[in-house]
Amino acid sequence: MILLLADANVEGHVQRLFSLIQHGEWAEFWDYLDARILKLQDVGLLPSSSDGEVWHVCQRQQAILLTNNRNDEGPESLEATIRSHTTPSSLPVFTFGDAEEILRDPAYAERVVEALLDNLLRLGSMRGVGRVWLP
Amino acid sequence: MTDIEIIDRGRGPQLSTSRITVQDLVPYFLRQCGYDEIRAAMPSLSDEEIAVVERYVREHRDEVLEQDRRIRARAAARRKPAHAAEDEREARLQRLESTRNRIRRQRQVREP
Repeated sequence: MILLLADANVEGHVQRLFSLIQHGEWAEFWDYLDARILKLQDVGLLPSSSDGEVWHVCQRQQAILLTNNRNDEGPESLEATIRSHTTPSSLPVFTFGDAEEILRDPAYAERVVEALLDNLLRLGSMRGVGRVWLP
Repeated sequence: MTDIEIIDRGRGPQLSTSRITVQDLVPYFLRQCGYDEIRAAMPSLSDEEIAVVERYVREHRDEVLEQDRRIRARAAARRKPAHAAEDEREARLQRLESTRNRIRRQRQVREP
């Protein structure tokens, strides 16, 4: 089973992607991967949890964080956490290249689905890379 | 009830009640989206939280727009040239097709 944690800033975007997967030609990949989408509260996180807390909970619970990247890259940021704490066995963080476009452009959303599934199917070789951009 | 404020935890201005940052919402305000459209993207936000961010953006417009410009420049610098992105997509689709065939063969073996 693969767990995907939708960050608070992309819950609607992840729902849109999930809908595309379920109603399109990609459903058999989703079933094969046995993937589940979780929200912050499903893994015991608060809406206001810090980037560090979110990243560490994802690693402990073996969930892949899906997020956006419009934040500063200061010492408390997700980027700083990834750089400081990623080990060769760490799960990557999947970051949407342009989250807003997922809701505006169906063709872009389709490309994100392709990239998401392709990376999930190759997850074994994705450990330790830190961040994976979709697409 | 918890007061909703804009605070900075080292990742840019954000809501005190949520991980969602001011910059997460800026593209929606720039497109003049309504609260319902913003909530479709970030369903955990309340009207009060969106209003607090909206007020912050109004009161710090120049600073917020400059930060948005830097974020867009960072994203543009990361983006691959169109031909490279297209080549990458083609390779991805080939891998997916190959995996799809493998999944179907496995299913046929299990469910003849």
